[in-house]
Amino acid sequence: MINQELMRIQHEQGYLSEAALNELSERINVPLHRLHEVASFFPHFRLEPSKATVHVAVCRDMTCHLRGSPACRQTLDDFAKAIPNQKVHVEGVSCLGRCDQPVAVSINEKVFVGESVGRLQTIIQRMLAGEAIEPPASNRSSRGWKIDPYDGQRPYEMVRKFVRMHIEYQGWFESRKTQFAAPAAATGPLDDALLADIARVEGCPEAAIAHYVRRSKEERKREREFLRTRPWLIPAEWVLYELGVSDLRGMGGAAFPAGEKWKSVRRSKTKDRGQSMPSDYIPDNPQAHPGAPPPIKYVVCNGDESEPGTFKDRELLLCYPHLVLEGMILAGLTTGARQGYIYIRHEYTEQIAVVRQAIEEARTICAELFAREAAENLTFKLADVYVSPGGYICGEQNALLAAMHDFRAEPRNKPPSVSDEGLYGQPTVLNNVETFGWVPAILNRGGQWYAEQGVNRGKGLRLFSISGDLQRPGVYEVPVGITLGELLKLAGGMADGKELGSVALSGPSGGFTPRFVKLKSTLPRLSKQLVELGICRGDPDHFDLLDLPLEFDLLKRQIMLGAAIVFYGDQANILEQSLNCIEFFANETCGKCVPCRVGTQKLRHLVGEAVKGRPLDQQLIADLNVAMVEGSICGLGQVAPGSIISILNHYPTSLPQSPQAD
Amino acid sequence: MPAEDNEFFDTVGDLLVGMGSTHEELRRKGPVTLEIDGETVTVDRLKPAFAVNLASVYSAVATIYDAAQKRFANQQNPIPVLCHQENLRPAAVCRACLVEYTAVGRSGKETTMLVPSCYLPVTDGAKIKTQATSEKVRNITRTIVELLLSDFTPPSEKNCVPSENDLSVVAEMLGAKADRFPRTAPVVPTDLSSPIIAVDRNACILCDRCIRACNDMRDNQIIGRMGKGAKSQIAFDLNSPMGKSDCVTCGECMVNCPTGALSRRGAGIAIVLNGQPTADADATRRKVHAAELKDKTKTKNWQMFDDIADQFLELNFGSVIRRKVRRGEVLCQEGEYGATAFLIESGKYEICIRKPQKLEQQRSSLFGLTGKFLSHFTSVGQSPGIARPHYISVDAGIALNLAKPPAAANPVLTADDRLFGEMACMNHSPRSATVIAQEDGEVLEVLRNVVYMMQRNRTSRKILDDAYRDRALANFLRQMPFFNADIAETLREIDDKLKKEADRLPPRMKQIMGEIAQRLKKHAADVTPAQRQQFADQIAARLKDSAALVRAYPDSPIVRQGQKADHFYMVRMGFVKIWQKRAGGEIVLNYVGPGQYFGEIGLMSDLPELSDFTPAGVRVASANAVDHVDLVRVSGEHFKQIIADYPGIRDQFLWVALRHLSENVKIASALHEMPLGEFLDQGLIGGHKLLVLDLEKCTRCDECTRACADTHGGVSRLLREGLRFDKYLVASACRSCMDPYCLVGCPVGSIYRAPHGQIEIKDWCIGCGQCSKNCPYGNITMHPLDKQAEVRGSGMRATTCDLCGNKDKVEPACVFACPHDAAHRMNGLDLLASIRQGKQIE
Repeated sequence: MINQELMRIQHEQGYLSEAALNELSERINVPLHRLHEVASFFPHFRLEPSKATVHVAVCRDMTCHLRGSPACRQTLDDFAKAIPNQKVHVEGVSCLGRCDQPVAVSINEKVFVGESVGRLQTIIQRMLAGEAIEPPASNRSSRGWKIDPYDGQRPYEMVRKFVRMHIEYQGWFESRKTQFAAPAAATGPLDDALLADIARVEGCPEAAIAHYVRRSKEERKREREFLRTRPWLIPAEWVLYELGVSDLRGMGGAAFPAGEKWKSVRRSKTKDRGQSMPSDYIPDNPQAHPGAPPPIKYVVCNGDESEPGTFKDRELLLCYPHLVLEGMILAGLTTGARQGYIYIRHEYTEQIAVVRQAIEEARTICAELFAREAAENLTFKLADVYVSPGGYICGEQNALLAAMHDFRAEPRNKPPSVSDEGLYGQPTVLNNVETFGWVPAILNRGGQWYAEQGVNRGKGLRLFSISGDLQRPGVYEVPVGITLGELLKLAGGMADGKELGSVALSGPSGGFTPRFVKLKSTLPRLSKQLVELGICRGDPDHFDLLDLPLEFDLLKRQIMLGAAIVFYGDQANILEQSLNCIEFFANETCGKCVPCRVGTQKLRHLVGEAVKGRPLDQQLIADLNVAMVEGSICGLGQVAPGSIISILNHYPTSLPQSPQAD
Repeated sequence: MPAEDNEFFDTVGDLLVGMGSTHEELRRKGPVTLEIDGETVTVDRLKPAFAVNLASVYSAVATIYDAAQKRFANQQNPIPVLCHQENLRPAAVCRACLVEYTAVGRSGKETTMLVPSCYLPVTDGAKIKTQATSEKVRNITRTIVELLLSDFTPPSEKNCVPSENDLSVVAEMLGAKADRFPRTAPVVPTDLSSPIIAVDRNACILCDRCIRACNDMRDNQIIGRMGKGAKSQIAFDLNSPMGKSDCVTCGECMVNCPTGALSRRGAGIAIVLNGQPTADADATRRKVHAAELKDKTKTKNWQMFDDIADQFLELNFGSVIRRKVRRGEVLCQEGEYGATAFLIESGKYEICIRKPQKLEQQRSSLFGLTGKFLSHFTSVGQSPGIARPHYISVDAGIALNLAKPPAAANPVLTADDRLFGEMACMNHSPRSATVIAQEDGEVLEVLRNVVYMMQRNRTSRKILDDAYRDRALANFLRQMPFFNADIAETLREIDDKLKKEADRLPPRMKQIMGEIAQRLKKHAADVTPAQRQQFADQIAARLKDSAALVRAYPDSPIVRQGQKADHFYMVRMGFVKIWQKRAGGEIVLNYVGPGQYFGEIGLMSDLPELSDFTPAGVRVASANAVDHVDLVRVSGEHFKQIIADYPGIRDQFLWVALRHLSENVKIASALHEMPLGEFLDQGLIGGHKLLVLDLEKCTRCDECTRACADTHGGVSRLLREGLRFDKYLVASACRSCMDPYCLVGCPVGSIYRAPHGQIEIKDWCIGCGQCSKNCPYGNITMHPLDKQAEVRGSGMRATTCDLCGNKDKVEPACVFACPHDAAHRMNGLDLLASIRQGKQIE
């Protein structure tokens, strides 16, 4: 409500005037400080009128930085200063998610990519003259990825199958009602009957039955109790089973098993909060207000892809929006959630339009499917796209929810978990775009199929956004466990005849790893594992990073592996690149907790000094790292020192040396 | 069993965020035991927390920090805190309170992690290591504090009077160095736009305390956090300078600021308490500074002020005065209202009750009449009316037996008794005794806003609570009707019922009633009234320590139909609605008022006499508070023990219970015809001086409004609109309610009940609008102040009808001016009686 109103005012007036905020405060009965704390938090909102008619924002992060954005920004800034009356304003902006086509420049909120500075100047001039220029439309044609099981055929088949199973199950249940009704007698024999009948339900593999039987007596008893009142839930067993077998992980970065998350939401009960007192999480309990959101479970798709180097969701939303929506609908049907939101960063304007269209289509199909009498217990509503007011922190799940609750996008303390108390304090499935996107394929071809796609002990397939000094940066669908070398080969190798120097395996968060790693001395545990598995055959202190399999569990807590991999040529100044990563976090910290708010600023200062040649107090950095890792509320503060720590570990010689007192 | 620490009601059934359980579920789970730095401590899972303006108490989840507070009650708590404050919900942003937490997780494995102790709920069997025992925790928290120190500049004494700086204290505790990190924050100018408070953002550590204080504690909704990341700051409204914002300068933000970023500029609120106290050391009435109040050598009662922020005491300078008392001086007058409490520093103070009947007229008039009223039209009040009390509660540490009127030897209070007068101050009730100095001495007279602060803090709250418990409870228990009921009267009632309803009553019930009557007859013959009085004393003594004083807030549920019956309740103040859910909807069975009780049926359902008529062990009806309700709660076990030990009392209870069970339906239908429910809902029953216009006589000439305006500087304090009942209009003007909600939480204590019962608002009102928000009937209005020399705070002030001073026998102007005798001032019960009887008001 507040966010939408602020966006509307800004759209109409160009900025949020005091008068408009006063009027809004009166009208929606919200105190001024509440409006102001939100309006001043998101960089998207302007509280002052701007003289400029053309606003230019040059991406300043990672790949764009590596590929020349500082020079681009400087040139454009000089160019703008030459234009009278400050009609053009140039500033830096955090990653726009176009790392495959650097440099990304947003001009009046239209993102232009890979344009020469000369061309950008032309665009600015034409816009100044009042011309409306749209960047060329992105290519929406199918990428031929395995994530799409339909390949142009009728989508939403898995939702249809779910509904069919449900109807069949209900028929079966009706005929068995009396048996269920006698819980005392319904012990051993009922299980057999139940199993035999499940087997007859379409598409339920033998293995699913085995999975069902493996549960303890107590668990089965509870399950029966549960099913007795919710007969429509049995197809959910199928979904959870397939997800379990597939070992589908959360693709947002944490790699938490998706099936487990869904299971826990399914178990969670909705919370009737009544008039209970506010909390840290929902300081202004939304349910205590008239017109409060209903106490139902929710599905939220996190499309706030803002980490530098990451742009896979951008492609997925553009080319396969229906897969993501289908995944969300299936999550809803499986967990009993009734409503789904897809949260997309506001810079993805094309994607927002495409998804909106897909939502319309999905709604029609769902309405038809759920309208059937026998499917009356099934319902799931897709809400309109929630356009993010912006900021990397919104990708943090709790901050994302806070933004949706109309608060500053600040993460919260644990407990509670999102599965338990997420959107509006209700159990919520919150997954990344890609995680939802894989669900239709997994259900269509089977969890087993998906799991078998992996290589080198990895399971499944995934998308990587790769960028940097590359021939063909972009999004690649690859088997989990693929080696870094193979991935580099897919991207056509290094560009401009550069040699691979370093790799950032998780955007700005995981630090840099050199091509040849001193594994044994810097990562002893990983070294031991890699030697045991026969992956590292030579000298563990001269390990070629290209042999590293990109698999979740192997690298767990040793090297961070994200969805964004940035390749750096051997000429790159890694210390300076590290400062760039730190500046990103220093710009994007929400400011809620002390270690992150103050820590990132100190890091920026200290590493900045080091780049200028001043020796770095390594003990101070180490202490700060521990305080930020252990003390920060959310992941942002925990990973912020990652890049400088990787310098201390892998590139000690790149640091300025203190003058030795011989 | 000592009474629990945490006695309050919550909205039953609400889930606690993050706990997946309701308050009740948590409470039922019982206390938890955990280990902190190798020492075990047992704490309750819930603790009291205050809602806006202390207007209500709810329960919050007890945290590890709370457990540490208990464990290290009389020592330095090894957990440092900056963003945490006892009465604010935890924010856990400063991370100074991190501890190592080891517990068995869901997976069954023991895990250790760092957690913010101010936020994480206590868990059974958890092992906690604070910075005192964990090197890791100490290093991390020290680094965090060093981060804060590097950007911190203490507020300049040029601009303000800074208080003690928590950051320095914590830094010293952890050995943090200010210069380990380079400064990265820019220096910003101090905001001196407010005449009261200086805002120095260079000293702000963004702990969020002022924000929570302003919005949660006071509901002023002014301070927020602006900007993002390193640019975050506190901001007033739309980042206005403090003095230009809608800030009312209540000082709550400043009181909660740990670093002095919000500090007092020197000016205070011109509080003038009872005459003109001066700062002169020799004066008999002298305003006292914080330093003196907290000085053990100068103030005997320093403990009461120990936890109150200096900033508060100084801002409200004049709220505490030191009085030199002469022999024979009267400190408070029985029957009058008062907004102050007295802390005894030295001397002896005699307690006198001169006119016992006056007390009944005042505070007890409401329950006396209502009791009669209820029984009048239902024939079954929850209790057989209120018998004349043998004891009356005294606003002092002594119970006076009226059977032996106070003669030569009146009780005397000394410094050991600590304080008196606090009940009138806290409950807005009239003084129940006159207190006279027996010799020269000294007292501290403390205004209500300071007493509120005392209630907020652990140590002083305990002292106040103990005094309240000791003084109020014992006396109240002895007044309860079941000790004083006339057995002959009860027998007549039983006889009457058996005769009248012989056809209607089930045979089994008739038989049991007969048996009870037999037993009571025997009891009356065997036990003398003197013996019965003795029983009452014994029982009161037994219950004194186990009974709990609890408060319920308007609309909050107290018991729920179908739930396990675990307590017995007696009403001290306010009204409780007893209702049942039935097939046809909800039916109100009764309203229970002061001096009455409920909850006994569920506890007696296992007795053979009742087992046929009521389900075992569960509540047959729900009870909700109608307004602010004070209850005395006795646990089920104690109740059962007492009725087992005293069969005479058990039979009394049984008879009342049976009568209820036989008549519930009848009551329901009878109540529905009466406007009582609506009357109670609109709070009219609690009105003491309603302005009632007889619309048959009223010609709408508006003389009343004009007269009011003429008396009060041109602004009328009444509005000739309001609720209509029959031919009567209850106009919008202060009703001088029995339980004035408006008084609650005034930050400067400028609104109070004057000695004659009227509500008055003093000149030092800062215009925060709290009383206006509190008044459920819209009878307090906010007016802009004229451009005065010293415009402070909001530039507004509150006004309300003060009954034109309410001088003896003089009608307020509105009534006096009415040419048609249409305007009257009357209490709610009289109005109800008039409506019911359809007669003219005289």
